[in-house]
Amino acid sequence: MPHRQPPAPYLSDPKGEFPLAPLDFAMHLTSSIGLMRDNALDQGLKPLGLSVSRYRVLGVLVRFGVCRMTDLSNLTAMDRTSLTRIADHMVDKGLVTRTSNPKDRRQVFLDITEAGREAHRDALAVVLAYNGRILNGIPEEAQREAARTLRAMAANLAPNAGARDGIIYYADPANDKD
Amino acid sequence: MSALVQPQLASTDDEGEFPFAPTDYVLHLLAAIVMFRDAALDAELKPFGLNIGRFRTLSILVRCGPCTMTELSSFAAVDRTTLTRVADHLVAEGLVRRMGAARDRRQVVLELTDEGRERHARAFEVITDCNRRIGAGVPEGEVRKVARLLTAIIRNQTSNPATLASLLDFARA
Repeated sequence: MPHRQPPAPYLSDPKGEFPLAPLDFAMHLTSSIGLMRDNALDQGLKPLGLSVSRYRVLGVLVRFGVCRMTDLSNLTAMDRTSLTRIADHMVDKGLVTRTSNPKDRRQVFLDITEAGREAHRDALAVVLAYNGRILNGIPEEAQREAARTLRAMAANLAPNAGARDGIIYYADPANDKD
Repeated sequence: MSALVQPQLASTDDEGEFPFAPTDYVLHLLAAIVMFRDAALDAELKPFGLNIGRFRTLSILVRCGPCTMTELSSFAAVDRTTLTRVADHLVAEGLVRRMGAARDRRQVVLELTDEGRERHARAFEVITDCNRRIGAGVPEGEVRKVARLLTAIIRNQTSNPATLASLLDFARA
């Protein structure tokens, strides 16, 4: 079905496959998926006392153990200000503990508590079920191909090398702690 | 071997190519792109008196025309609480006006002012520039494949016809 000309100032797809130029359309869909997924997961995680942002922080701590705020920021793509607010809340709820370097009080570390681990286990089930549901029917090879393209796009956009590698490789930040 | 089913503690890729199973990695990357992009755009839209949420709301009025808050909410795929705050701001800035019955808020229609349309058009370049940075070096054929996969995801996320038309046809149903 050919698409109508989009309203100004939007640019049309020369091949007529999409209602907008392909890249602009892909980014429009990406942000729509993100909004709907965050809303759905915030709702789904509410009974566990979590939100999607809190879940992301717990996920990093379960995988890598104690982390600096910089590591958490790199591995979650969240900015430091939001992370600090989220950490405050999770410390209050007993999901994480916060310590600071006695030699440099500005350097803050977070660690997960047993309650945090339990909450994460339940949350993971909610998140994986939702992920599976929204990619249902899409062949694995198509998912792998898209992942390679999205990886290049995320790398183009990352604000710095630490954030780029944290997101793309999700590698243990301890390896680059001297 | 224990007969107990161990709860899954993490998502892993059997083929070892990605740090998570492909399904979860795709969504991990999408979430990261949204966060990186929203942060960049919030900063770049500031000189226009906008942020990404306000731009998105103007964009819906550009593509779907005047609409009630209920329509706006389904066109945007976000909850009304957030939208109401954004709409109030846009009205106060003179970019959007409220038309219609003062007695029944549900019947109030939001529409773009000339200033709102112009502001959206100027800010639009910030968005397309950012998109071009994201797509640098990515062949168009790959972008098209991604867009097809994203379309399939959205169809799994919602069956609301108004939401689907707004997101997938970029128009009113």
